Amino acid sequence: MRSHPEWRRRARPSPTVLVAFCLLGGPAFGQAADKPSAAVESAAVESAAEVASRLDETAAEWDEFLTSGRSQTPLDLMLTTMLERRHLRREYLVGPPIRQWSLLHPGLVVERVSDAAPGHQLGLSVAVEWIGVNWWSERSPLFGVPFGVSLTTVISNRLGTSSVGHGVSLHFDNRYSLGWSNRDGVDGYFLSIDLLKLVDDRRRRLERYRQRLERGQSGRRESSE
Amino acid sequence: MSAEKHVVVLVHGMGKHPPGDFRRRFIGAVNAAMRRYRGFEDKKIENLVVIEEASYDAIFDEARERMARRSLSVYDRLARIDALTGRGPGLVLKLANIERRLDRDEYLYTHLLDVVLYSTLLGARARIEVGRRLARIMADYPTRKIHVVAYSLGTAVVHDTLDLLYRENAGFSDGVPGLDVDRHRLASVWMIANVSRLMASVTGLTEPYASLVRPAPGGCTDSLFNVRHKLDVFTWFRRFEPANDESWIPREHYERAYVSIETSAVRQANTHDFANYIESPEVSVPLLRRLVRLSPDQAETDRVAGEYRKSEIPGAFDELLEALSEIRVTERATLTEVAIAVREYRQIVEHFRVQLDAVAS
Repeated sequence: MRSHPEWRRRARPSPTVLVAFCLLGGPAFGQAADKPSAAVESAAVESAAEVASRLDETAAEWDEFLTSGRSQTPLDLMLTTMLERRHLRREYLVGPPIRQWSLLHPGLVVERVSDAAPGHQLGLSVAVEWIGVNWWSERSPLFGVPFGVSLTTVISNRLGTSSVGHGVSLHFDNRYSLGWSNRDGVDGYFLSIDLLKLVDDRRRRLERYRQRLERGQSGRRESSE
Repeated sequence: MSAEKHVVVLVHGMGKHPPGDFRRRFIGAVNAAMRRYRGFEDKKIENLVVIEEASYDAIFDEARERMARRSLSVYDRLARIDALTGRGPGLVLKLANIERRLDRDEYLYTHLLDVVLYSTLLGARARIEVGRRLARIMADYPTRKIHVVAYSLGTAVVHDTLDLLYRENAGFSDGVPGLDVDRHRLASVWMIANVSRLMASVTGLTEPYASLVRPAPGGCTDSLFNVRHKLDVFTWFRRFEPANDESWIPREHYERAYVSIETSAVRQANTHDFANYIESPEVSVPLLRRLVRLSPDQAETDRVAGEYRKSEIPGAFDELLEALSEIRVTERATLTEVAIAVREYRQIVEHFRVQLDAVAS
């Protein structure tokens, strides 16, 4: 955070660019300072358009983060904001952080506890990730695919074992999680699929398809006019 | 003087704003203000300027909806386990319960939560949205004068976006997309019910006193209008109120290009209302002068100001002032304290509204 107006973000122009600027109609060529030449005006338009399209790309990255990354609760958002604050407080408009953090993140998993009473070995459990981190994009430093890890507690009512187990989850591709838990010495294995994300993905694909169709139709209309 | 229409970019405040909604409110308020002046009755602001919107509400809306949807199944399961075993994680259950209520149509979720969400990383996404819209408008209207009118939470979004979007010598070598303070300079920025300082204390972004959003060399705008209502609680905390002592901008620029406007008319219970701000002569006269170069003469200005004062609710200012004096205001207030104050403010306004309705009927 800057604290005083004395800081100034002075990006130093390279000599080549300075020469180009002067040739395009900078003050060195006798232009009135308050009346930009057509060339300077045109450069301003181009640069604004370029900024807009660069920010369009950044917006698309954010949308990818918000829709393709693991779903986040308000607590996850707050923790990610806090731990990624160095990135988020940069002195320009930033894209999404590379990591997502989770805190007390609840979810549903299918868990198998072999030593539970017959009929109670396989079933739904609630999983609570106490804390976790997920590299959400394909730029993940580990396997080149989105990857994360969380400390997890699973809770379910199983005859023959404790209803609470503690363990670890590994997350892949922002939607699949595999994990191990221990319930008073009894091992359990669980997995989950973010069904909501699958539905969201399908909806987004349909939406993109619909937009492409509409664009195609309007393009055909314009060409026929 | 350019004959081209100026461009006005509107940035809304908290809550949901269907496309065109904020634009309609702006047009309605400005036209209502113009109708009071003789000679301006037939003029329509929508014919005199190009009006564009830079909205960000969809980002918060979608986040709220996504979280609420996701938590539904989890909450049901958690609640069942909690009931069966008594061993469900109570805190997580409570959190999931809060989460599943996020898409409710209540003021807390549709308005105040926006402030919280803006302070998270979603704020960065909102700034991108407003930034790219502004850059696109700059590219679309290269020769026009561009004015930004921001309201309430929108003042913080605009302030932070402009500060991060603009730089000196932008685009030359740093590889970061940015607009240039000279080549892409704004004609004016209007901060209506300015909460930019309050939000900067929460987000940790640049303090408005140190930012590029200033009407001076190195700043991104020719002039800055800072508007607040005396009884608008939103503007009571960490108020943007720069001194004319050269600590912010040089004195000559402060006196020429910075305008602080304080309104006080109470014509309805809600003093935070956007139209209430825009319609007041203290705001509408300089607004029309800057946007459409319309200036009623002094006699007409005085006449309208007098009539406007007469249209106030008699005794309402003192009554509201007394009721609001119970709200605790500190310079270092936390967001929670501000939220409590806003809740009290809303209760007082609601009570006042009921009283007014009773009198009217």
